[in-house]
Order: sequence, then structure tokens, then C-alpha cells
Amino acid sequence: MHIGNYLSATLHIGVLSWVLLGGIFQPQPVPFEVSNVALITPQEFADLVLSDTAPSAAQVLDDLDPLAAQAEDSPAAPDPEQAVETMPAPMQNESPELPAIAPKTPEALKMPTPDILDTSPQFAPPAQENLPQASQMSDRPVPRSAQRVALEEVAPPPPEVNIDDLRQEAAIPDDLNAPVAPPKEEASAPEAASREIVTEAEEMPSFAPQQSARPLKRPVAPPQPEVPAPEPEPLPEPAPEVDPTPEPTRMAETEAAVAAALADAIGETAPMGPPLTKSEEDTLRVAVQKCWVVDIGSAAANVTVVLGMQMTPEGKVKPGSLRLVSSQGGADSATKTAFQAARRAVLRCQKGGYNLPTEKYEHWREIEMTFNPEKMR
Amino acid sequence: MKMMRYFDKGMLLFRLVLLAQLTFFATLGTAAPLRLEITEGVVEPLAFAAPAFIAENAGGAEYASQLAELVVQDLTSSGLFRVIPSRAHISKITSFSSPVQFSDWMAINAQALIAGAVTAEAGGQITVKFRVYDVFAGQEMGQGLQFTGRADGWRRIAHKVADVVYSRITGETGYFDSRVVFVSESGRKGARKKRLAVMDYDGENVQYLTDSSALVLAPRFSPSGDKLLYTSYESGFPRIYLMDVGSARRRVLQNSSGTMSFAPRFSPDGSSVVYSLEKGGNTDIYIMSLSSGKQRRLTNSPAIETAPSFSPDGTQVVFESDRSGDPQLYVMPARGGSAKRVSFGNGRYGTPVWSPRGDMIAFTKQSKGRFHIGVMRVDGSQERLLTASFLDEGPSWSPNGRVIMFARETQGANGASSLYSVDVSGRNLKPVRTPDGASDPAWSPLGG
Repeated sequence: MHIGNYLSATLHIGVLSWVLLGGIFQPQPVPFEVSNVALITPQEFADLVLSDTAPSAAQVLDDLDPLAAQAEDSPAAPDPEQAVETMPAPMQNESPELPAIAPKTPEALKMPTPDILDTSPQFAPPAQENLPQASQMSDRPVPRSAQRVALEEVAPPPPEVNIDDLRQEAAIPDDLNAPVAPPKEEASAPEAASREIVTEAEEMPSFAPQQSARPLKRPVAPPQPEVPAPEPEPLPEPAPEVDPTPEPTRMAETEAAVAAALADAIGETAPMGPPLTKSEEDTLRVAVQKCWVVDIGSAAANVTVVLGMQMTPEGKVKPGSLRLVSSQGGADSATKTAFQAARRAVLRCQKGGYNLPTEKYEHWREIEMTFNPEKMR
Repeated sequence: MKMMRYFDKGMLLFRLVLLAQLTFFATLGTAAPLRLEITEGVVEPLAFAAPAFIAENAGGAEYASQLAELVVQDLTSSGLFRVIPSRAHISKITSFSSPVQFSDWMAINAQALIAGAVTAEAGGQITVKFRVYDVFAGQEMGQGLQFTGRADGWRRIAHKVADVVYSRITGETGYFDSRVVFVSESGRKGARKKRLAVMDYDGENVQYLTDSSALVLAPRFSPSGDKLLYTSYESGFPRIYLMDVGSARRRVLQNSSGTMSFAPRFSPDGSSVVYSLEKGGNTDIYIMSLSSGKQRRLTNSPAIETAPSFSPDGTQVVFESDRSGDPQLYVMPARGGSAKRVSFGNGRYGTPVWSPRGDMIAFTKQSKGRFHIGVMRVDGSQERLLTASFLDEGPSWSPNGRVIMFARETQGANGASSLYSVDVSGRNLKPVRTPDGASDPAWSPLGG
């Protein structure tokens, strides 16, 4: 009767203790992040990225030099800053937001080059004709502030596309570039690009709101990463990214372990309603005793046997689960006979399954029946 | 870094403690098996199916159906089994080795299935093989068996098959392959002619062992079934005779002049005989060694003490005595000594017989003008009367201690005696077919 209460109380205690004590351990992982950040190369990374992207874009797009310059300028300054700012956000978001975090930082850093390249080819056809429509079509109000691109520049894009692939490989070291950010921007960029080129700095805000929707954990992460590496902002980016992932995974693993332990201990998640009522037990008892043929003149009539069995949710005995749990009052042969008679009773009357409440399956999935013929002798 | 390690250790410890708690309480929360006690069942025959045995060659066809029918007859006569008619069968047994469709037999509620086959062998012999299945368990009960014997002895083969089936299902030995010796009675009441006869337990194959020239009483089989003890008035006085069943040769066991000996019975090992001897107007219990012929007095009382019967282990003897005023039952050591009264009910008790199981004593009881066949525990407890009639007497246990055969005489000038059998539970009371009137039945051991 109190088992459910015990279990409920235990679970509550466990959860509360987890909540209370678990928070103590959260800040621990942060220091690790700091150490990692220190090890990572600082300014060179950003410079290299910028230098790599700039020349390539410049070489490929002669006409687009101004655009490339703008693009290069925009990412260089604003991106790292935004990246540094955005980095803490993922740190705070931890486990659930891991995927979202990854795309943001790379996008901010790398967006300039690929965006430009992608937009340039598409500008040609739609730019002139669809300028007004594009503005209407765009769902993003923010990007309009971006500069417009001339239609003439659109012609060269085709060859640029091939070259862009090469650049992406060079920029790949960031790893995070490939996944989500590029494709999404490409899809949205074409329409906007037909009229205007949205700079990285302008596009970033569009991403920011999505991440900023979760302000809860921001205060925690920012302070520590900023202290160790204020200047090498680009560098700390990878470090914090690496650390936050293990924390949430640890949490997830712990939660999974706890859930698994509960599942194993409690058993399958079968319905466990209140215990069977007396009438429900009597129903089963009557059903079985109707088929229990007792040979009152035999030695087996002096034997009391206890049968154990496992039941299916349909109320039938699981094949092969019937067993003799114990016996009393007779020799082996008489016990064997008594067991066989009891087994026949259980199997013969089950037919399509005993009438047992399904919602209480957990209470009758395992049954032990005592067949006591004492009153019949 | 140290702090971090402490935190890690703390975290690990915390998790372990949490998991331990969860495991502990979860085990408490696991539903215990539902426990029920069944104390009331049904007392009814167990339904079984016994399709005609398969004739595996032309010669076997002659016996295939007969064998199956006799097996069915044996089983159903016990009152513990009920056969399901063949017209209700869904499946047919077409081959002895073919798999059994248990679902088809379950559908007709057959709890047991008997499948057999007959093969006629050279030299006038037949081979009968069979299997017994527990239908609902979906498995064979024991292993298949086969018997080979003379074709003209097919009835005994069938009895043996029935015994095995009975044993497989009830867990007890059968009694179908047994015989009964009895006193055959013919003629009108008051002038009846009596002679010894032997028959199968079911009344078949009756053979007469003596003529009707002398009154014979109380025949008893030896434990091996090859000898008989009986009382005959051939000499004008009751005398105990020992007969070899095979040759029908006999000899007098006790021939002391001026005495009367009667109510003999073998000891469990067959080496000695316990009987009543009347000498000088006093009747006591004696025991005689068959090898040496020496006899020894077991009781010494002025009362009439008779109808001794050994316990199966040969250590005790139950007998009838009126030392208390009325005939009652007493138990004493087989070597003699003080006897303990075990019957205390109202009425007169007589002809006690110890059960082959050793747990009960059958007796004849006269109470309130009626006779009963009853049983009681060896200590006199749990007395149960199984029959009631104008005259029931002379109980005899079946080899397995499950059935009691006795003589019942009807009332009136034309009253006749016949044999009846009843299950030890008091059920399945039925007459035993005999050619003429019969009394004093005595069951042989199994296979005797």
C-alpha cells in the first residue's frame, strides 16, 4: 500500500537534492574552459582568416573588390566581437543549445566571403527587375539597411562560384562553418541579394535574436571567459565551445543513468494502478478453481503446491513460465501429480486470457497460486 | 585543480548515493507477485481422448480398435476418467510418429491424449506401442512404451497399457492388470453351492479352482499372486488350505485335531501366515511359518479374536476382537503383545484389512441394522463409511489401495450376494460382473 508513497518520496528527494546540490558543481567546469582558451592561438587566427579570405575574394572578383573590401572589413571588426559576445550565450545555454551555438560563431566569422560570392551570381538576373519586389518579398526588416549592389557586377559571379569552393576549404579550420549557417544564409541571401547585399554585420542581428531568446544563463558564463582572454577573443571561442559540450553531455549522461536505474529498478513502464480488489482476486480464483480437478482419493490430495507463473498483459500465462514454487505434504510422485493437476487447471481455464484489469497489470504480471486441497479431502 | 577534483569526487559520490537510494526504494516499489490460494476445486472425471490405435499392418487391424476400447473401458471404470467420443475429435491420429495438433485436442477440452499403434508379429504375437500426452501442457507424459505378447492375450496387454496411462496421469500405480479370487455362489438361498473362482478384475476370464463339494470361505492371494489361502469345510471342520494357483494343487496348513482354523492371510513377504485358531472354545490369533510349519500364538484373550491383517511393512497386525464386549478393531505388534483399540464408533466392527498404502484400514461395520464398508486411519481417526446396505461385508483393497471390492447381499428369501467396488473416496460405487453370485472377494497384487 505504501510502496507508491515511498517511491514518490524518494524520487522527490532525489530530484530536490539534485537541484540543490547539482548547482554547486556547475561552476566547476568553467576554469577548464579558461585554461583551454589560454592555450589557443590568439590574434593570428583572426588575422589569418581575414587575410585568407581577403585575397581570395579579391582575386576572384576583380570588379567586386569594393564589395569584398566591405565584406572583409565588416567581418574582421564586428565578427570577433560578436563572436565573443555570442560565445558566452551558448555557454549559458549549455546542453540544449549546443547545436545553435556552433553555427553562430562560425557564421559571424566566415559569412563575409561566402555571402558575397553567393550573392554576386544571383544578382545579375533578378537585381534590376526585382528590386522593388525583393524589398517586399524580404521578411527581414533589418537587412534593408545594407548596401545595394550594382547590377553590372553580377555578370562575373559564375566563375567566382568555383573559386569560392576553394576558399571555403581554406576557411574550414573553423569546422563550424560547414553545417547550418551557410545553407540558411544562401537560401535567404538570394532574394535579398537581388536588390541589396547584406553585410555580415547586418545579418548577425538576425541571428542574435534567436539565441538571445534565452537570457537565463547569460550572467554566468560571460564573466570567466572574459577575464582570462579579453583580447584574444577569437581564440577563446573554440575553447569555451569545447568545454560547454562536455558539461551538458555529463548532465545528460547522469540524467540518462538515473532514468535507466529507475527503469531497471522499477521495471518496465507498465501501468501500476491500485492493488487488485477482493472481487477481482475472487474472479481469478473462481476461474481457476473451476478447472482444478481434485482426485480426493489420491495421495496427491494430501499435497499443497504453490505454482508460480508470469502473465501476459492479455491475461494469459507466458509459455514456459509455469513452475513449482514449493510443495508440502507428499512424496515426489504425489507432488508431481498435484503440480500437473494445478498446471492443467491454470492452462485449461485461461482460454483467451483471464479477466484481469489491464491497468493493474503490474500487480498481476507475476502470480503465485497455492492449491490447497485440504478442505476437499 | 584540487578543488575541481574534490568537486568531481563529490559529484561521483553524490551520484552513487542517489543511485543506491533509487535502487533500494525501487526494489521496495517493485510489485510483489499476486498471491492467491485455491482451496476449492471440482471432483469430476478427467476428460481424455483415445483414438483407435493405428494398425501398422494387416494383422494389427484385428486388435487396433479392441485395444483402444478396452483401455478406455479400464480408465473410465475407475471413475477418474471420462472419454471424449471419437465423433467429437477434430484431429485424427494417422501415424504414431506424426506430431500432435494439441490445439485441436484442446478445442474439445481433452486434457489427456492416448495415441497407440498395433503391429502383428510373427508367431502369433502382437506389439502394442503408445504415448500419453498432456494436451494443455503441450507435452508428452513420460516416454512412449510398447508391450509384446501373445495375440490371444491382448486383453492383458490392454490392461497394462491402461495401468501405465493411469499411472502417468494420477501418479499412482494402476490396478487393471490384476485378478480377483472370490467365492462363486450358485443355488437358492440356504442351499447355495460355493466354489473358488478367479477372474480378471473386470469380471472376465473366470476360472474355477474348486468344485462345490465343500463349503469354502475367505480366499486370499499371496503377495506374489501365485498361491492362495482359503478356508474349507472339506473335513467337516474349517481348515486352512494353501493352493498353487497355476496347478490348483493344495495342502492343509493347519490340521490339529479338535481345532478350527480360519481367516488366514499372508504376511507381506509371503513367508508366514496369520490366522485364527479356535481351541477349547477360545479363538485367538496365531502366526505360522510356511517354511517350517511352526506356529506361534499372538493373542491370549478369552474373547473371540479373528480376521488378522498385516500392515504393509509387516510390523503390525490389525484384528477384530470382542474383548471389550462388542466386536472392535485392535492393532498389535506382529510379534504379539499388547493390542491397542482403534475403533470407537457406535456399532460393531469386523473384517479389518490394512491398505496397501499403509495409511488406512478398511472394515465392515454394523450399525443400526445396516452394514457399511468404511475406512479409517490406522490410529482410528477419520472414519468414513463408504457404503450402506442390508449386508455389505468382506472388503478387499485393490493393489494400489485406491478401490475396495466387497460383497453385497440383497434382502429377502431370494436375496443373492454379488460383488461391488467403490473408490476409497466413496465415489464410483458399482457392481462387478460375475457369472453367478459371488462373495469374499480378494484382490491379487498387480500383475498377479
